[in-house]
Amino acid sequence: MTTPHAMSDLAVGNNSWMVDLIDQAAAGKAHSPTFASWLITRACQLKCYYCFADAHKKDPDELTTGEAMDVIEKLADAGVFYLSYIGGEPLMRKDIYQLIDYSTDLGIYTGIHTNGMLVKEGVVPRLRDVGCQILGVSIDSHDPLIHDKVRGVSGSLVGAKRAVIESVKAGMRCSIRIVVTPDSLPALPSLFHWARDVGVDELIIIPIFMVGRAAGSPNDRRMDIEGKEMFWRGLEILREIGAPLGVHVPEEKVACCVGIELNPSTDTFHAGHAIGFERSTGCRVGKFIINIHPNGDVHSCPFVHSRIGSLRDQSVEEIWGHPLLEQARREDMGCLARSIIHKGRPDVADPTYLRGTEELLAELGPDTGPAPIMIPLTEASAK
Amino acid sequence: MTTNQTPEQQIADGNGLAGIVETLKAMTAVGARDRLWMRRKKNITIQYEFVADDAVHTYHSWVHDSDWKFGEGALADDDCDVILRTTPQVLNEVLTGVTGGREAMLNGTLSMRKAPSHPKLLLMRAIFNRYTKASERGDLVDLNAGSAGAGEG
Repeated sequence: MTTPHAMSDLAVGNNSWMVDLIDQAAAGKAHSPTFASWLITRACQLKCYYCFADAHKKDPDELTTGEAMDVIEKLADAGVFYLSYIGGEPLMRKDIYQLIDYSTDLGIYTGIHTNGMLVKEGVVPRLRDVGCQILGVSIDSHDPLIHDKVRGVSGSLVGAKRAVIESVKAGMRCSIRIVVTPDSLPALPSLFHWARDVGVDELIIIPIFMVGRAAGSPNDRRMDIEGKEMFWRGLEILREIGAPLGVHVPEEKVACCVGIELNPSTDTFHAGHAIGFERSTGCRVGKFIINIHPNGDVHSCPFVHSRIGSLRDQSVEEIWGHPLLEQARREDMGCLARSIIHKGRPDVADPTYLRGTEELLAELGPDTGPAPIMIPLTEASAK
Repeated sequence: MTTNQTPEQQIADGNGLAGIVETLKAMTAVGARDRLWMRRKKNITIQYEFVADDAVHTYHSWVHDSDWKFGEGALADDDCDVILRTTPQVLNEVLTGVTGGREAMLNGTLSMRKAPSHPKLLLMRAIFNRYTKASERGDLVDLNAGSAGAGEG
């Protein structure tokens, strides 16, 4: 028998460097982003009314497999810890397994975010084989009528739930991502309990941003302000439900994605653990994150639709030095996506960060625009 | 190899140090034949300090371009990019995916007393990931067959 180790033996060194590293990033002093989300394709079978990427068809200038692998090498050389393939629907790219395999071969902690429609038998084992460590699934409600209405395709909840179950069964870390809308807000309690019951690891709660397919109504500014309030309300609901169960819902300074660890095994293990998000508050632009588009263009985050470079011909470090990111490190600007929604540009402070909701709504005057367009349901092609 | 048991079996049977040393040898053999590493020509030196049997047992792995070595003994701290201190069991759990590396660090069962740069941290994870995938795919080099060697394609 080997001797059980004493913690004091291991404490000869400590891991304060890791905390320092995350603190440095939170202070805007990281030499490169720790996290990249990659909108790997804009192809998607669904028509979610809030889709920030306005995903439907593959872009004509989407990176080839070889070009995408070059980008992965650039991410690894820059020391990007965590890469999340998002879309669109990433599984619609035939080479997605090859790309995940390559990113994990280069040491990048890799996840994929899917709508679940293509997660059929054999898909999760194949994702595990190539080293994928997180499967994220978007769900809007436990009720198929609501989920399918939001998605614009009937039968879509079946695929999403199947993906969750398969992921949990295979022992792959699973997250459910919920965009808080008038449709999903009432569903949060039942989704929370279902997720815990089936063994999901984390919930990622996301505010609606009036960008992509959600944008274009004269009421965008009003809906953004109301959407932000709805997001805070959603977090409050989850905080009330989670507290008696020991589930902690982090506080955020801005209305942006929040990770909630559903089954914390220790007090140091949290959602966002791969990159230390639990130690970050406020906007992560210029500090933790970049977002890559299908053609290699880089934006400061998935919701800030303002190009800051291209990984076709620039390094990660060059792009990380972009003036917009430098400004975001220097100034506490709030959410740059909301700067664009309310001011038409990302390099000014987010008015919803500086001013109160009532004041902003009063300034906008009466609600004049039409309600968001609901896309008629079509039948799912893959059940 | 002093036994016909796999490293995992040795660790499960309590012979943790021997098991993890065999694992690290196999990891070196996997890396040495790896075309990706040959092409990318990266360098990293990792020192492993295993706490076992009331003592600390030190080994190191050294990768320079496509040349891979694994040996016993300590190097000068300045010559190491990463220094890991843990138990054989915990490193085995990290390599088999039972425990996340960051989780092990946060719960105090694995410490890095020399912190790597971001790219070096990724190189270390790349070595671990390539080994884990090769192991799960049944694609490990048979060290007993004497066919493993640096540069082998």
